[in-house]
Amino acid sequence: MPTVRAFWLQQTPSLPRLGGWPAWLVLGLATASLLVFALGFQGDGWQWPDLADPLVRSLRLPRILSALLVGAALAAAGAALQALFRNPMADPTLIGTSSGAALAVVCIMAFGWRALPLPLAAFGGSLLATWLLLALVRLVGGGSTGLLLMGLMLGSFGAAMTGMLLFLSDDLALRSAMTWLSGQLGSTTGAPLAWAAPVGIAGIALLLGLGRDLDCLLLGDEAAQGLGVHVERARLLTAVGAAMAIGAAVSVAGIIGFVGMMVPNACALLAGGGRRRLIALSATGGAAFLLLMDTLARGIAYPVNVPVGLLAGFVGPMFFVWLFRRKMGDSA
Amino acid sequence: MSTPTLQMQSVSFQHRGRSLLNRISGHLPTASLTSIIGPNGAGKSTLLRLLGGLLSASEGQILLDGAPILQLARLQRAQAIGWLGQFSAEDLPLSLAEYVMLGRRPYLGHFGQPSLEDQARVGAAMAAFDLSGLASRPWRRLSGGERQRAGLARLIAQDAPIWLLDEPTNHLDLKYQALLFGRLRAEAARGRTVVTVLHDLALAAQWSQEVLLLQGGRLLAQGPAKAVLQAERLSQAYGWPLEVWHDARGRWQMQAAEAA
Repeated sequence: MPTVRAFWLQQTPSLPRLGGWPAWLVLGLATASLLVFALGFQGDGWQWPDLADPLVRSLRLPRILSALLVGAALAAAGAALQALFRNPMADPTLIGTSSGAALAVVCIMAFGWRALPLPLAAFGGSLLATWLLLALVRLVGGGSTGLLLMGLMLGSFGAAMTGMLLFLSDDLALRSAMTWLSGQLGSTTGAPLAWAAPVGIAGIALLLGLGRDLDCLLLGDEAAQGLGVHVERARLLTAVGAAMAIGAAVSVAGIIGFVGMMVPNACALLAGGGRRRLIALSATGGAAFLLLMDTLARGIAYPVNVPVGLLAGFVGPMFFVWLFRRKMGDSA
Repeated sequence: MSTPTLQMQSVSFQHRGRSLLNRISGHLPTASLTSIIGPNGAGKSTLLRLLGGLLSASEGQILLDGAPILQLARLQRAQAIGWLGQFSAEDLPLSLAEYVMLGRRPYLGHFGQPSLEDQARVGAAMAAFDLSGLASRPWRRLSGGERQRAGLARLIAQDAPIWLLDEPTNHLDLKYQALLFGRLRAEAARGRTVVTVLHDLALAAQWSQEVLLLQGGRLLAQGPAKAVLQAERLSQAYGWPLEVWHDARGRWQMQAAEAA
């Protein structure tokens, strides 16, 4: 019996690879026009943005900047984690690092340790989760599937703890944390951008610096060592950089899944190239993607503000299935 | 080319309570092609990793030009010793040329941009294994043999005076095996020290100048291929009767007996 396959599950024809500057030009132009559109867009219409307008300046602009930061940080972290774990399906949400960050943030809120800035707490939680996962993967093994499963378990555990904390507390502030957790931009629960941006940008910068080492790590630990890479240090620094980026993103916008997996894979497929270039492309592409999603989220059920995380949750799983099938097809 | 010397000083290696290598000492001849042979589990790959400084010995040490190899700075070591292991990455977003360029990592560091010289070396390395036409092909569309050749090209691009190769003939058909060993011999003649782990005794006999025979973590014999590859000694090492003879053209032939 012939197998029937959905059209989007079929192998993609090999796409032409975009060269150096055209890729950047296309991305840059797309982001810029999207930015202008988002600035002037309101659910019921569009007008040329007037920066003097307080609505534009103090509501839309911060929200747009948050979208750019969160998208860039998640995609850059995803690109780095995929090299670190040698698995194209590694994503901050799928492997539990986002949950670690969210748990830390909810802890801060629940126990009222407001003295500790949220992005730093989120960084700590995410770093802890990444380390735990690295240790678990070493201890248990199981290869590519083992990593995904253990990350999933770690994420579920973190989510369960978070849910328990939220459930047990009757504080109103924590109730609003629920909306924040589902991945929303422009809420007031999350960390202020001024705190999160430096942490996130520093994390992305650290990951960019590690680009060439990550390329070597993809060849296997021994080959990387043979090329002069300090493997343990490169791993540790990658975990730290990714945790900074993820911590910043989660503290601003809660858990937004799949951006960290979709964007780097799309970039690798379309443009390829070394990890540093891929991280930079992913950061730009992730910023543009999340801004697009958030602009859609603002308009789709206007005047209701749909969490952008929910919207990304629609697109992400389909992409994941496609990618998983592609990978399985390659190794078969 | 002034080749640094590699020396093993009563090297032992234990892993999880099991002794994998037991007090191995010796000198690897410079500017020649050396093969490490022995039955499965003899410790061949472990010894090669120790020689490359990828593992640290439980006892004893490896000396590179008289200095303990693990005390060298990582980049310095990577400039002295090129490593080609058996692991081949599955999913790289790189093109073949970008992959081979990683061989220049010991010289470029974190941020260095490849110079014209680096690019010329990468081009020559790809040409050495018939890969020039595939330079821009994505890694995921290369066959197993092409990936293995790409690894060899990366090793050439790294241009270290010592080469360590673990089963370099994996996935290679006869033409590229001949091309590979021809190249290794030529590099040895030019002053490079080449050490390979091989399980194919006939290849080891045909091409190598020096042979290390390992069994159960011990060095049974070291010396010129002719002296080491004796039927009696090999039979003892492999625990199975082996026949060794020369064919009409003077080539080494080896075969396992059909029954012990």
